[in-house]
Parts: sequence; structure tokens; C-alpha cells
Amino acid sequence: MQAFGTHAGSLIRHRFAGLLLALVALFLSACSSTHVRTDAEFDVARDLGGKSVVLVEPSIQLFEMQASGLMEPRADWTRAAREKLPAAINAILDQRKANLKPEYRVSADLPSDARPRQVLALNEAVINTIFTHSYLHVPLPTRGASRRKPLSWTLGPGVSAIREETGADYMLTVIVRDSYTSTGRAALMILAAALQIGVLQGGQQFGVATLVDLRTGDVVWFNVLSDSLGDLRDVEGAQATASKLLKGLPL
Amino acid sequence: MKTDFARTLKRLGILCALVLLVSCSGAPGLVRPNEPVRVQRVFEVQSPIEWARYRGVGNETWTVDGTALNRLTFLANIRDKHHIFGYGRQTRRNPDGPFFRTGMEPNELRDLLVDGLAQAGFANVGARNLQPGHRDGFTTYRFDLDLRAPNGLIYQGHALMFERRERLNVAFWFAPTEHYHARDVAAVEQMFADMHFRQ
Amino acid sequence: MSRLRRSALIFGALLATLLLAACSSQPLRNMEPGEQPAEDTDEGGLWDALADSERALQRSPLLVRDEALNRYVNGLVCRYAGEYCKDIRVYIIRRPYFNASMAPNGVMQIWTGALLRAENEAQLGFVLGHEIGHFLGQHSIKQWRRTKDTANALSLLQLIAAGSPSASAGDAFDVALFAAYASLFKYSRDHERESDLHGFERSVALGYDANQGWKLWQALLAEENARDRRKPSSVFATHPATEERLTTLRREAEALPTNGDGTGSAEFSDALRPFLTTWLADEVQRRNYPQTLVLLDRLQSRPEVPNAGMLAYFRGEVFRKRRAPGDDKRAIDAYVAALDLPGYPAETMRALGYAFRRVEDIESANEAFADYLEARPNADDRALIEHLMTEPVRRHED
Repeated sequence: MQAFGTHAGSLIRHRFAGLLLALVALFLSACSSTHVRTDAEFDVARDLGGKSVVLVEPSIQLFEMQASGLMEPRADWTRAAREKLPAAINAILDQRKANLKPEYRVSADLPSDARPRQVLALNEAVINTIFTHSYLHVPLPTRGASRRKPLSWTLGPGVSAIREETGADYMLTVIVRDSYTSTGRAALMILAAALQIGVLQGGQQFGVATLVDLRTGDVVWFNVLSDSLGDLRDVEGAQATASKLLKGLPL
Repeated sequence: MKTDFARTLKRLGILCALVLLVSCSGAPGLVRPNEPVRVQRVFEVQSPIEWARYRGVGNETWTVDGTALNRLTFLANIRDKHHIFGYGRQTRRNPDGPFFRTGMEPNELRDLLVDGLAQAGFANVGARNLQPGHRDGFTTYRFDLDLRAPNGLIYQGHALMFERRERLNVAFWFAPTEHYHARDVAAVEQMFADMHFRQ
Repeated sequence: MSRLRRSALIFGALLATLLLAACSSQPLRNMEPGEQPAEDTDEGGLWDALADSERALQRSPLLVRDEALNRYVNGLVCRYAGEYCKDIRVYIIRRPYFNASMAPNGVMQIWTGALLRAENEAQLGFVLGHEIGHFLGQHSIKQWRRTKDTANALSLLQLIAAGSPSASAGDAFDVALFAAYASLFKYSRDHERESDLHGFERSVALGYDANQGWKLWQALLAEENARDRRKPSSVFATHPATEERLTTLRREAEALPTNGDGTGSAEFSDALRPFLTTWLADEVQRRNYPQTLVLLDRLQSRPEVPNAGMLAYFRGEVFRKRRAPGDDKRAIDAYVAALDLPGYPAETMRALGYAFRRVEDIESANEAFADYLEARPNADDRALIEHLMTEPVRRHED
């Protein structure tokens, strides 16, 4: 209270800084990126026209981000997304003259040692591996230093177990985690920006997709999607997400 | 009914220790086929296939496609009363765990690795076919391993252990039974057979 | 602090408090058998996400799929759950720790370490009844809402503390954090007490001996006390101290006018017996030696010892792995005792051979190894054992 003038000055600085931060927050929250990799022959040799693709055990979960950042799963949104995203994927594949086989899930009472289970468990390990070395750039000298190296991972010929079960030529794996900012979180984000404390993270869309050739087991295409504006709760949003998720899939 | 935080933390710690075997090393190197390589000043290894090589302190992990798809780990010079994966030392306060003791019999050495892998979160870890051998003046023991990742993926492989200057040295390799084990098993068996140890 | 800042703080605090208050007053669902929560509720969201975890559980390599064992445990769950039987799905998980858990969507996990420790059907039933108590009391959803609100309140506090220039606000935040987490754990301790009582009441209603619940806690307390490490601090213990639970249940049992004396059917031991060897091997693999020794004592003192030779063999295994001073001798004694009892595994002779080598008694060692090879002519470690029989013993000091 001693030097009112200084306070007035800082008040103005605060106001501008707060505004700036809010703008930065808005800018940051509009980020969207994909990370597409394909195997060496993809563009030249692969023609998926007339081929069939099976979506295997898609994992889609939507959350509402609480004020604290805690993620609360939302069943209604998730159900909508589990219907709309595969439909949107199907529409894209249809358009490009490939057809989508019915979604495949390994039966629950099949023990974990059974062949289809083992192939899908290996698929998980391979996806994690590609994610680690291609997306997170953890160096793997056997795959060269270049970040733009073509994909060279495989599940091996054991994938025939999935081809026999589904009759498909390619297996598409989709993992999507999508969160939406709750009102409480939004209020806290604005508050944090106004108080110049920092930019709090809001809802985020995150997806990983791979395509495996069911004759060779090779992973022929891989994409990571990260987007803070995507929305899977409505048809248009699901279509937009599907086309970003399937980016670079040259069908 | 009962959550034991200490246990969870310990488990995490051991898992971290296993992960750290990879991540605390500097820039990874490349092992070229058929070129002899000295590992941690104990093992002399020559491989028919190419590996990425992550060097740590007292340990190294080699992999062809990523550690979830094949993993060859060397542990060198584990001292008396030290944890097999470098997770602390046996003390009065911390008496329980797979700690190496000088002069352990082959069954005890095998149990160290098996119990250590089980503690690190692998399921149904089994060892079979424990065999003695002699190499470069040391008595070696090798055995076959099978284990499962938490998602059910079955791994198979083998291990070689020997005591040198009262310290334990271990080499073990495992890869998923699905595709990867069969692809590399001949090469790795040849590596294990051709391996030599410094005096 | 500037006026804007202060007013923003107050505004923010008010707004957040309002938002928080809105969700903390949510009523619990009226839980009828077979009923599921509405899809657009927080509970519906949890159920949906848990369906994914359930699928992961179904393909876990740790899942025990044995039909007879699952049938038996499911039958007991149904007796305890009554009309809610169909709402609960039991998964037996192969992990050597005393644990059981209940998810809000009816997924119950029971670990083999708990099956190994329950002495009879009444004790196992008490554990299952306890978990069913969590389910019927809707404890998970209560806890989730509480966590959510606490975390939200804490984030707001954190902002206020970070936005405040004075150091004391930061301190205040630490205190608040501590208090908030402590209250979360207390909440969970209350749930445990409530569920203990549910398990107790169901046991009494089904005609089981009301004393079996506290007897199980007493056994676990003995194991806990055998642990030579520091225990977690009591403020943050998610569960009330075992001793307190024991006393409460004992008092309840003694206050009953009449008491059933049933400890359950022989089906219990029939269902569990085929797994004892595997579960004991898993138990020894934990390398928590003092606890395992207490457990082995208890298993041995049961009225009908499943097979005494096997228990003695595993006692020897504990000493062999522990290697404390005097353990070499204890291991030999245990293996030798096993050989005189029914049900010892052939590995006992091999283990005895190793144990004799450790005390440099080559002759006895080779005798035991020869016995082993005679009992198991096709042993996969035949070459090793034959090699050891020609190998001099290494000296070692402990």
C-alpha cells in the first residue's frame, strides 16, 4: 500500500501477461500432429485395392479431465466413439476399394498360451517397441541413426493364425485415448493463466495405429496421432479423427 | 484386502533396476557380425548376428529389435551379498531377496536368476536342464529359461552363470516363443558356445 | 498481493468450491441385484473402463483356470453373496501374497497367497464375505468420488499456494496435502472395518464358527510381526492395524449368544490340495523368510496336515535360500525329517545332497545324490549331479 504507483504498474503488466499466457494456452491447445512411418516397399509395391482389412481388438477409451487433472472414464462418450470411429474407418477404406471385415476379438475363455493370443501379445510388444524407437526416438543402432528410417519390424509368419480366424489380408490395430476438459478444469486453466502460474494441460487426443500384413507378419504402416482439438463424440469429429489416424495409409 | 506399499515400491524398484540396466548407459553401440567384442572386461563374445549394445556400469544389454523382442543381458562382477540385478545389498535391515553369496552351488545360482526375474514382474518363471561345463579354467552352469510377460507373451531363452574371483557373472538371453526365439536361437547358442572369459 | 490477483483468487476459490460441492453430494445408486449403473454417470464410466481391465485379467498368465477350484470358490462366493451371486465374477490369481480385492463392477480377485493362508472354509468365506461387503457398501465409488474431490481441492490449493508470494502459503499447502491424504486413507480404513463386520455377519448367518475371522487375523498378525523390516507408518496405512481388527472381531464373536461351530466342508481341502506344492514353491520364491517360516509352522499344526513331508522339504528350502548362520544345519535337519514323512518330493534327496556339500560332508552328499538319481533316473540335471559327485567342495565362509 506504500507505493500505489508501482502497484498500478504491476497491475497492468499482470493483465497483459495474463492475456499473453491465455493466448499461449489457446495456441498450445490447438496443436495437432501425426507421425507416419511405412515399411520400405510400401509406396512402390503395396496395393491394398480389393484387399480386406480386419480391425483387431480396438482399444478406445474416452475420459473427462477433472479439475485436478485426474481422468474420469466416460462410458457414454466411449460407447459413441466405439461405434463412430470404426464406422468412419470403414467409410475411408470403402472409398479406397478395400473392405473392412467384422471386428475380431479373441474369445475370453481361450487361455493366454493359445496361438491367436500369443500373436496379439506379440503385436502389443511390437507396437510398444516401434513407439519407443520410432516415435520417442530412443536410439536403436541396428535400425540405423536416421529418424525417418522405414519400418522394419515383424510379427513373423505366426500371424497366419489371425488370417485363418478372420480371412483378412491385413490386420489394423487401433488404440485411442481421448480426454476432454471438464468445466472445473477449464476454470482452473483460466485461473492458472490469469495468475501467471503456468499453462495447465487440457484434454488431449492420443492414438496409435498399425497395419500388419497377415501373410508375412510385417508391420507395413505405423502412425501416432496427437491432437488437442479432436473430438470422437460426434460423427464429424470421428470422421476427422479417422482420417488423421489413417494418414499415409496408401489405399 | 491388504495392500503392501513397501512391496509394490520394491517391485517397482527392481523393475526400474532392470530397465536402468538399459537406460543409464551412454550412447548405444553396434555389435558387428563375427567381430570379437569384450564385454565388461569379463566376457569375450563373437556373434554371427548384429546387435544394438547398451552399456551400463557392470552390465550390458544387447538387442536386435528392441528389448521386448529379444534381450541378451550380461551382468559382471556381482559381489558377495549384492542383489543379482544391482538392487541394493543384503543387510540386517534388508535380509530378504535374491542376493549373491560367494561359493553358491549351481541350484542356488539358478534360483537367484529365476527369483530375480519373478520379482521383476515376469510370471511363471521356470528353469530346466541345468548343466555344468568347464571353460577357460572356470566351472560354468547353464540352463534353459521360460517366462511370461504380464500380458501373457511367452519368452524362452537360456542363461550361463559362473563365479570368477569370488564374483558372479551372468549372461542370459530370451525372446518371444512367437517368431523371435526360433529366428535367433541358433545364433545365440553359437555365441554362448564360443564365449570366453578373461582370467 | 495485487487487487486483481486477490479478487481472482477469491473468485477462483468460490467457483471451484461450487463445482466441487456439486459433485460431492452425488447420491449412491440404489443397488438391486443384476442392476448396472446408468451409462452417463461416473460409476458407469468406471464400469466401462473396468471391463477392459477384466479382459486383461482373463488373458493374464497368472489366472488360475482349474475348473474344480474355480467351481468351489465360486460356490462359496455365491453362498456369501446370496441374491447378488450373479453380480460377482471371481478370478483366482497366482500370486503368493495374502490379498483379495473387489472392483465396483463385480470383479473379485483372490490371490493364491490368500487361499494358502486360509485354514478352512470358514476363514476363506470370511475373506470372501469381506470383499462382498466392499461391493455391497459401494466402497469403490465412494472412494473414487472422495479421491476426485480431494484432488480437485488440492489442485486449487496448489494454485493458491503457488500464486501467493509468501512462503507460508506454500507451507500451508503442504499441511493441507498431508491432511487430505491422511483423510483419504482414514476413509478407506473405515471401509475395511465395515467390510470386516459384513464378512463376520454373513459367516454367522451361514452357521460358520464366528471365531474363524479373528483367528485368520491372528495368523496374519503373527506373520506381520515376524517381519524384521520397518512397517509403514500408521497414518498412511490403508488398512486398520491387524491387531485392532482382530480385537474388534473377537469382541463381536464373544458377544454372540450362540455360536455355530462349523469350519466348513472337506471340499475345501479337496479343492486346494492339488495346488499346495505350486503355491508353497511360489511362497518360498518371495524370499521373505521369517514370514514363510511362520506360515509353515501354521500349516504343520493344522488338524489334518495335507502332507507333512512336503512342508518339511519347503522348510529346508527356506533355510537353504536364507543362508543365515546355522541355516546349513537347519536345512539338513528339515530335509532329513522330510524323508521320514509321507509326501516328500524326490527333490528332497537332491536338496539334501547340496546341503551336505555346504557343510563339506562329501560322503553323505554323494549318498543323497545317488538316492535322487535312483528315484529320478531321467532327471534333466543328471549330468550336473554326476558332475557334482566328482567335484570337490568349495570352502566358503558365512
